[in-house]
Amino acid sequence: MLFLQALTNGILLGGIYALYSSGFSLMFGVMGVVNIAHGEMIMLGAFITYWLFEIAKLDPFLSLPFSLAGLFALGYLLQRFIINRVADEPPIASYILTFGIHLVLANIALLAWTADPRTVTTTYSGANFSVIGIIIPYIKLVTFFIAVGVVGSLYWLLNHSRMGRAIQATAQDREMARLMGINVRQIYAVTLGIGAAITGLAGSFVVTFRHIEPGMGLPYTITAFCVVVLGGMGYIPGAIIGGLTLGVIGSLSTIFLTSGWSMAVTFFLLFMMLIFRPAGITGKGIVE
Amino acid sequence: MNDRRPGRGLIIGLIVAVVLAIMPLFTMGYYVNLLTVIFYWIGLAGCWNLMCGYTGYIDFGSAVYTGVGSYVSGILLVRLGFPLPVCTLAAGLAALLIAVIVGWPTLRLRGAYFAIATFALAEALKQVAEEWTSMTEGGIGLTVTYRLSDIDYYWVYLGLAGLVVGLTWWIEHHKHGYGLKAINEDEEAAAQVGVNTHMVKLKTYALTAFFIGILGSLEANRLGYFKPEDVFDIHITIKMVIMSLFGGMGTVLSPVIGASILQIIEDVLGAEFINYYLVIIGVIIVVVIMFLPRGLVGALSKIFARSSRPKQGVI
Repeated sequence: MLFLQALTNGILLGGIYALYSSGFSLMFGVMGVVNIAHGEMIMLGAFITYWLFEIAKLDPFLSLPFSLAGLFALGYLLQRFIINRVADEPPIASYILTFGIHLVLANIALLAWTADPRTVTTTYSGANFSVIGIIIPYIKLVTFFIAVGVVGSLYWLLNHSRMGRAIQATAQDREMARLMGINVRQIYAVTLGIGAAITGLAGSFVVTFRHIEPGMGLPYTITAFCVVVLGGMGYIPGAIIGGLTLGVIGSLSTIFLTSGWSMAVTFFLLFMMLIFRPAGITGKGIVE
Repeated sequence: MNDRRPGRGLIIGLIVAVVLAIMPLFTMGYYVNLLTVIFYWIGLAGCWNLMCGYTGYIDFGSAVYTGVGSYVSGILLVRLGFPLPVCTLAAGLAALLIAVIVGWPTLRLRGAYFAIATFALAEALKQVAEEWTSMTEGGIGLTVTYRLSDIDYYWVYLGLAGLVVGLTWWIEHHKHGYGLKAINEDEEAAAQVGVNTHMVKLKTYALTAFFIGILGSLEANRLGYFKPEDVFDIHITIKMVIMSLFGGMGTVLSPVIGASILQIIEDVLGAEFINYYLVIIGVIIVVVIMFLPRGLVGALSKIFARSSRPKQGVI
């Protein structure tokens, strides 16, 4: 029973993992950017929801459009005015650049909001139902379905919308896309905007069941790394597979181990993947 | 590539080293302490620069090696009572071993995977050090009672910093260094003309990890007390990155210039401004990458361009 409960928790958590990792995967797949500031985007989304709840008494689920729009704007502007400047440099320039952005965002947030842990508690926060003795909180279930739905829609839009096809064309061959009349820099800015928006959305969900604080970003960035390596870097549906896998393994390992050791288990898993199957479980990740 | 002889640079370097070596005989206290810390960081940033600046593979988890170095030597010293040189050497070798284990699978893949794996490893090992209390004392911290005198650390760090800088110079002017630069320019082309790219990267990585491990173990010993969050601190890596970057990655002198300037800035701003300091450092990283991608050395050598061949920058 403990096992089934942990399995359920892991699957529900995996949905959130999938959501914020898909943005990471998108940025890597299209621009080759490894976004070290990814966890900060989750943090900012979470704080948008938190402050709207604290000040305007807005329900966390109603604040989703705000974190979506806010983070889209942030992502778009970051790419437009900062990261695009190194678009023609080797990819490492972008790693170091996002590393700098990570430091700036995390520490400004720390100065503004202090290191106090905060969370959003609504009237329905603790509500749950049970199936054959397994407890399922409503919030996590709803979050799970929204998360999987958003990742699915992202994949569908990438393949079926005009903008999505332009993004894919840019990812495949930037020069050719430019020759075909695609404004590559604009596409990059929109891509980072979309990635950031989805990530911010995940942050809004996180605040409903976990404590948040300005320095929370780093572990989330690392989790996103692990998820996309498991699912295949740059392959969007891989984020769901990777997210569920990591969620379940992480949840099961906490039955037997303390949280510190389960972090080590996560890393060990990542490491084994890099040795034996760097293209991810699906085999569709970008390796070279 | 035309100048293989030591020339003026080496003579100036030796004079500077001799002056620095005899300096503590005449002044004491603050300046000696500041210089000791600067030498330590020149050594660390020099290692980071040698691997990442020359090959373009970015290590975001160099603190792994300061951490492993600290704990290996600390545990050997405290629990088993080994002499300090043995502990320090063991620390270097342990770091080297981990570098080979991590580097072997990841250095064959895109640079992104290396960056990710090293980044995550630092965090994972910090957690292990926190949890494995029977060995590391966890969050309580490990106290090392045996310690050299301040002046000895000054000389040892000066020697190690000089060794790392000298090694960088030597490698740059020999076959191994050409391989490193070729990897940075175009890895596929390098492989096609016969550079064993994987081995070149792995050897360099293991070598730099060895030195970082030694420096980390000595620093932990100098401070006398450390916790997992001190020695596996991401800010150690951040400083190595920014110091190399500030000077201009992939040049011999960049870590010397970067470490000296930034350590002095940090000393002036002081530890009480740590949050502002990190915001400022973040802004410096962003501005340097955006406007001075070749760092201070690159920008200056552009202004005072004395040779027709531009200095080799990385990004």
